[in-house]
Amino acid sequence: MLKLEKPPAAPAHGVHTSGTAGLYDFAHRHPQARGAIAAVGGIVTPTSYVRASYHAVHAFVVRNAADEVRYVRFTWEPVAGVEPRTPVQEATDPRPDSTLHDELSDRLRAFPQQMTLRMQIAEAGDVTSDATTGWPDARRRVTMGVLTLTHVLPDQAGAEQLGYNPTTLVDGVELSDDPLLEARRVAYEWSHADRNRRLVEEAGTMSASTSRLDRVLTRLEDRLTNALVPYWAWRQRRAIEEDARTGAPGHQAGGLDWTVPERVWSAAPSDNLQRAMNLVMPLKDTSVLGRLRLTVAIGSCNDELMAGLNNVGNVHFARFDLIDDSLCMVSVYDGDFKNYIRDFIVAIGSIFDVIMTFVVDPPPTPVAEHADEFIAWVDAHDLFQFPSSLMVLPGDLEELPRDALLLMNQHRHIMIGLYHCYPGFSTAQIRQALGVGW
Amino acid sequence: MNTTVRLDLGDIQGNILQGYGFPYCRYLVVRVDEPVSAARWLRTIAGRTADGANGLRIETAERWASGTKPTACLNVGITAAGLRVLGVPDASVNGLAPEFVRGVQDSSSKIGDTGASAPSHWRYGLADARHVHMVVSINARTTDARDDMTTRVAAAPGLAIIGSLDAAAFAGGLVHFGYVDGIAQPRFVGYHGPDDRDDDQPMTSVGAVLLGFESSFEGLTWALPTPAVLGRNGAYDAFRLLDQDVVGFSDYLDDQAAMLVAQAPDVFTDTNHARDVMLAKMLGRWPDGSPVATWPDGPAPGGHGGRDGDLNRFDFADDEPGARCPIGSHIRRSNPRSAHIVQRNAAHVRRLVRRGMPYGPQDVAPDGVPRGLAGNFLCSSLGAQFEAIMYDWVNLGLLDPRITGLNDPLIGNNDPRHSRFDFAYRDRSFSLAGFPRFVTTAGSAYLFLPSLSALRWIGGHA
Repeated sequence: MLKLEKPPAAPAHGVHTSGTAGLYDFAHRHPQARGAIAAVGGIVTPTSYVRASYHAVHAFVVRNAADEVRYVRFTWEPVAGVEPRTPVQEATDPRPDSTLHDELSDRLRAFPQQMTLRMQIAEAGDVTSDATTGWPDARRRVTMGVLTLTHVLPDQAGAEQLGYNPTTLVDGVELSDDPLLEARRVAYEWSHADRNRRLVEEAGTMSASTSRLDRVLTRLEDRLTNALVPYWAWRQRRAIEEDARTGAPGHQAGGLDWTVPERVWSAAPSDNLQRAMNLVMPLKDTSVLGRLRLTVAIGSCNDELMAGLNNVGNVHFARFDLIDDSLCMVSVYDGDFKNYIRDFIVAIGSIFDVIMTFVVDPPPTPVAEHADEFIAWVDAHDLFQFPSSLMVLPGDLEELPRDALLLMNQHRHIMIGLYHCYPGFSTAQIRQALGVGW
Repeated sequence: MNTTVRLDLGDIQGNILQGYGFPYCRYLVVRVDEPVSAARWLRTIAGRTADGANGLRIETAERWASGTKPTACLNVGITAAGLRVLGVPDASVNGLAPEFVRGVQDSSSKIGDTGASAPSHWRYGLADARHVHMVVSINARTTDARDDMTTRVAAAPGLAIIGSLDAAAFAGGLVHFGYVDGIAQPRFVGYHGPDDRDDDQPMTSVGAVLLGFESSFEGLTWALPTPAVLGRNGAYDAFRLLDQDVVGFSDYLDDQAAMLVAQAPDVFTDTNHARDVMLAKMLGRWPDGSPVATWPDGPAPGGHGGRDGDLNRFDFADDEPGARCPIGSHIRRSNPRSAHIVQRNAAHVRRLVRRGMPYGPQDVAPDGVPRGLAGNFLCSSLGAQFEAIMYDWVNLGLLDPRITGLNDPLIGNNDPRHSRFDFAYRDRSFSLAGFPRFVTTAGSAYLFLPSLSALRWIGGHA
């Protein structure tokens, strides 16, 4: 049964709606927490610990040999790319709490995995004292190195003796003016000491620490009356702030060393950027309910689709449309068609498994085990790009070339033309020129 | 994730997981004229005993017991046309990889086999794909052993040798253009030990080269044909005969070296110095193999620490601007290692096994004698590995916006009107332009190197 309800008011631009009434109530009363709460709604479970990004939200200061300093933020990014679990997987394939831990052990037994440490560099005017405030996307990111993970230590072995204290720093890295760092330092020292009873005897230190904690917390209360500890906030917040500041996200030049090379046209047949895919997939169930089910299934995977497309990396635009009784996936991408589809399967094959249940005459699934067949199927459902050499109108229509008639007869869906506003540039070249990172 | 890999080495052809390291190799391009006899011959040479085929036997990956190292090794690659002629049902052939089924000539425009590299110009019997059914390779320790084995193959009933090419190793593992080749190869879990070769790159699944195992792409398994025995333990081989224009390359370097010295006399002491730097930056390694990622100013002093030592202990992730190893260099664009690339999913997964040997005399002389590299690029998916590298990275340079639109300076499909290559040396930027295509395809075939059990199955079909 369909139940009609008055829809809730539309959320602010860029804000996901999720969470409970209590959470919203809190957000209404504490504007500074809104970004965090919105971001919490966007959190998804990764498929693996090494297919997720890790953001250290605090700013730090780095100092070089010439005593120049920069404010920076660190991020660990998986070399293999980010891969979240889909809502469909979450709903149909719940996993026990130990899944990610076990998965990591299994994965490392097969192959080592790599994470890249990247550093985002602040520029004048960026807020460095508030972990809830993001920096513009345009800020330069530098790769610091690659961590190769080879095995998982036996559970907890040695971990109790370690203090994961964000204020224990190496030479050249210093604390920023973010007051939370100080709060964390004290709290972490306290808990570390508490775990390691050996420090308890230093009672003086303990009480000194405790009173310092009190002092810091009081100071924090003065400043940040509305502070949630917003680990996830900055991602969302920086987008919202950036929108507000510039009207459109991230349009200022970054401090990049490289400029896009002057466009050189290559005669190579492989010079193939901004290609169009127009995938037309007739639906099995064309009723209102069938169309609604499909819409909800794809809509609920939106975040995963976006993450997947980001990993694929060479897609300019992609959209899903319901047109007549067909689902259409329309995209513009760079490079080889097969690589594009294959990378898409690697990134979000499970979403295609779901979509394939809605369409007529689907290819074998799971697509991850039938990649070549899926690619051939997509190729067959793609619009035919009519050769421009045949697009010459003769004096008499009956003099149209036979080839043209045969092709037209063979293909129901035809792509006639595609306009390029900036021909010959790849996704990454455009992003690089805009200074928004690639 | 399946972490236990059990390899049946006696079922896998011997040139896949490891090279033989023999100095001579002869390739015989073979047409099947009488399918029944040819199939029986295949069944025999893939059998446990080989008396019935003039003592010929396919070499497997089984390790040689001491004192049993052969003087010559026989291996067979079959094209899709060859499988059909041998009587393998279409339904089975079509279950193999689509690129293989359609053949290399169908991929010409994609992998850059155009112009002078177009199939119509190919030699060694490879131009007419309808007649290219098998490529038999003979790796040998001596020319006598090679010639003897050739005679025995030529005596096989029902086969016609329509082309042949001899390759011979140069001293020190050098190839034309003067580089040491074949340094970085994937290491396989379950075959290589973790300490086998010093390499900073992650080990990969044996499924990166063999069918029937988890592939190198996370979560992807390449489909096996029906019956599975046809595919399992087999590998695809992009067999490429690549002419190298040694004279054109040398002339270009001379020309540019003079220009560089004039442009930056404080950086380049003389034209030889400029020439060496260009060679190193275009490839990503100094001619002796030492990586410019580790040794940006000159080759490693006093040797490079052995083939498998420092030669592979490097990454590009710590050289984002390409100050040491240029982003457009051959080794960086064909295997960007952990560097940040546009196609995040593609890091480490497209790697190929490469077996190459030079042909033609080692000198640089304008005598019209072809010089080049006979290469075998082995993988479990021609589309996902070989073609993906050729199409998106070697040509086009899609992996990094700073090189997109520019082709590989050494092997790319270049045109002097718009070729370009940028590199940095001693904190200065230099740009090379106007270079032609130095490497031309002289012949190619997409081969399948079936397992021995698959060969016996194929042999039972004519």
